[in-house]
Amino acid sequence: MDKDTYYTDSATVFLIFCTMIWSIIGMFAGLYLAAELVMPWLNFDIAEITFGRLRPFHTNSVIFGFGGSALIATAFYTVQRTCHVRLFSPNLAWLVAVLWQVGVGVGLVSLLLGYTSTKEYAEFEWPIDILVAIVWISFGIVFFGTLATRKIRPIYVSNWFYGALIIVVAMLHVVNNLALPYSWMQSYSVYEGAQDAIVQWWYGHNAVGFFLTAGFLGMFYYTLPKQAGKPIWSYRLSVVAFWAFVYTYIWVGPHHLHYTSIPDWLMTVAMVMSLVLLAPSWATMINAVMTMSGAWDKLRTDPGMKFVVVSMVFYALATFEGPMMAIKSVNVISHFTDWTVGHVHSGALGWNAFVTFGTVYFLAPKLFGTTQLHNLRLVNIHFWLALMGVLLYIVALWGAGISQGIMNLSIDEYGQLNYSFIDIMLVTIPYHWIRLFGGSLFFVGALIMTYNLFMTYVAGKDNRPVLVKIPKVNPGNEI
Amino acid sequence: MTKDVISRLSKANYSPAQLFFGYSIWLGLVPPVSAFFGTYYNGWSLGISDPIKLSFSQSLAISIFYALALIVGFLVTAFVIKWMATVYAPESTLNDAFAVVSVVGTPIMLAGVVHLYPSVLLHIIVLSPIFAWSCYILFCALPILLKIDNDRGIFMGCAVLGFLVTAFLALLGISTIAWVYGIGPNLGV
Repeated sequence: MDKDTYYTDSATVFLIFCTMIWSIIGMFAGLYLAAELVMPWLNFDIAEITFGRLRPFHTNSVIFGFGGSALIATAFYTVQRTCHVRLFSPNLAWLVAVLWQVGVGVGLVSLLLGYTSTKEYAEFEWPIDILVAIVWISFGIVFFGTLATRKIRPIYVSNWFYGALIIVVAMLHVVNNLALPYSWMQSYSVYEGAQDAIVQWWYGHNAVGFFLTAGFLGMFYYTLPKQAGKPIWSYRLSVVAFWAFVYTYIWVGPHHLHYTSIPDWLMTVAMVMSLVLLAPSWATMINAVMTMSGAWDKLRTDPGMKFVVVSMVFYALATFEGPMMAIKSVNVISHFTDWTVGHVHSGALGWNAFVTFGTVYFLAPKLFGTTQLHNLRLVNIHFWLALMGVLLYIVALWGAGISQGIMNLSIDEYGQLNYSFIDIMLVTIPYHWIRLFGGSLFFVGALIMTYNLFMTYVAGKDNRPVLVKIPKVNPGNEI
Repeated sequence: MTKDVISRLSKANYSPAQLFFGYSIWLGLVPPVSAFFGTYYNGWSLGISDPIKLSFSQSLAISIFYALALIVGFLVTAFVIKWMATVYAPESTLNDAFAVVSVVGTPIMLAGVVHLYPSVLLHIIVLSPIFAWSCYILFCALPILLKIDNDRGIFMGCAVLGFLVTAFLALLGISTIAWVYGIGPNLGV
């Protein structure tokens, strides 16, 4: 058998299981944190599980563990299908898949042990940063190597997004983590004061932009037309939106620093660019909606389709809410409140997790060697649990955030603050209970999905390895 | 039962004006009237300390604007549904779009009674299930009233829901900007 005539998907299968394991670990950590907010005794005075350590554990495990594994898995899968060629180096791909788990795993343990660079979403200390950078560059070698050896002339739009993810995240990671090592697990950032803050949020928001948006759009642009069984409504719009997106996003980081000691013009530029960003975001959303129109019957035949449809609603919601919250007059209320936390989760759960779930449900039977998922009813249950969970979550945090925002700033006739910090915390407690309940529903959904995928994998054991022959390129499109 | 009621409505003869002036506008008065009595007599409660009471004229002005916003919101949503129907349900009419907004809005408008006791937490607790119910009605009503199959109804329901949530967020943003510029609560900004 000539291996080069078949796609290679074993690393993708491994990464899909890692995605689900990280989703359970990361979401459970999130759930535990939500529980600690209403029952602070739950930290049992154990330093490793206090809020301050568990919180970066949660964010890093869901973003890099869950999100990162899903992105690498789907990038490996997609780039082969859209380039009509086997992965550039399957062995290197496996190394990336395994070392990514090692890097994230070691990093997370170090966070629990209290080693942190204190930069949000970039808390890993320098030795782990170097490991992550090496793995990421190797990921780039596999991806761009496959792209370079492609058999088809056009580069499909998914690959533009995945390519942007790899290049920009490498740049952000290296620049933001530049530090002077003091010991093996201690270093000092090369930036100071306001500059440090600007670089950090240039990284922070573009991690959202390129990791959690560009990468997932790459996933989405492959999955959606495949699920709908028709091409993207407007390919040109997708490419225009890509370039507008890439150009605009890189400016918006300082909207995290409104009314701080950074230059005023920088805040204004960030605010304006955030508003401009609405255009490419919604262009993508409209493209998706129009691509889906006409594929009505797929809802019955494809269990993952409804996840992808709903992910678009949340994508529209989050990409409208984000620019709105970047307006200074809104930000003055919303900043430092739970509104921000709710906004992040409407994007992370409603958009990122939903599109990942939809994609994995779509890919799993193909990769595991079965005709369909183990139990379609469980997919439905997962869908409703996840939807109810995320809605309860964000509605509760809207209530909490607006109450907090008003109370933070409320003054009496003498100009003194009306409410103390404790007053505001007390008001927040009931909302945090609702959020805990919403988060629990979402978590149970992820557990059900993992079980369903595992059973699907077991059911396909006689049909593996799944060999998919690389189809011939249509005449005229060859490279 | 919900589906039976919607089916009966789909068979009834009415014009958009009849539906709007004969039913929806009266129902739409429940939230603003409740809000007026709530803000004037009880005051907005954030869950701690004294509630924020507004004067008679301020409460009245806010309630009038609220009523206008609901009316405009009703009409805009109906026209947006009609516009979306060009993709999802080309056969449907403006009547159908008005009917969808009326049935979906009914539980929410009735739940506007909660404004009589304006506590943010109470609103979240009462309105969350009501919104969930309205969502259910939306997904039931679209296929029946617009005469399309269920699959199309789900796609269109998602699109309408996306519009409604975005509109809600836009209102929240506008309110926030209004507060910062001195309309509403006394904030130190």
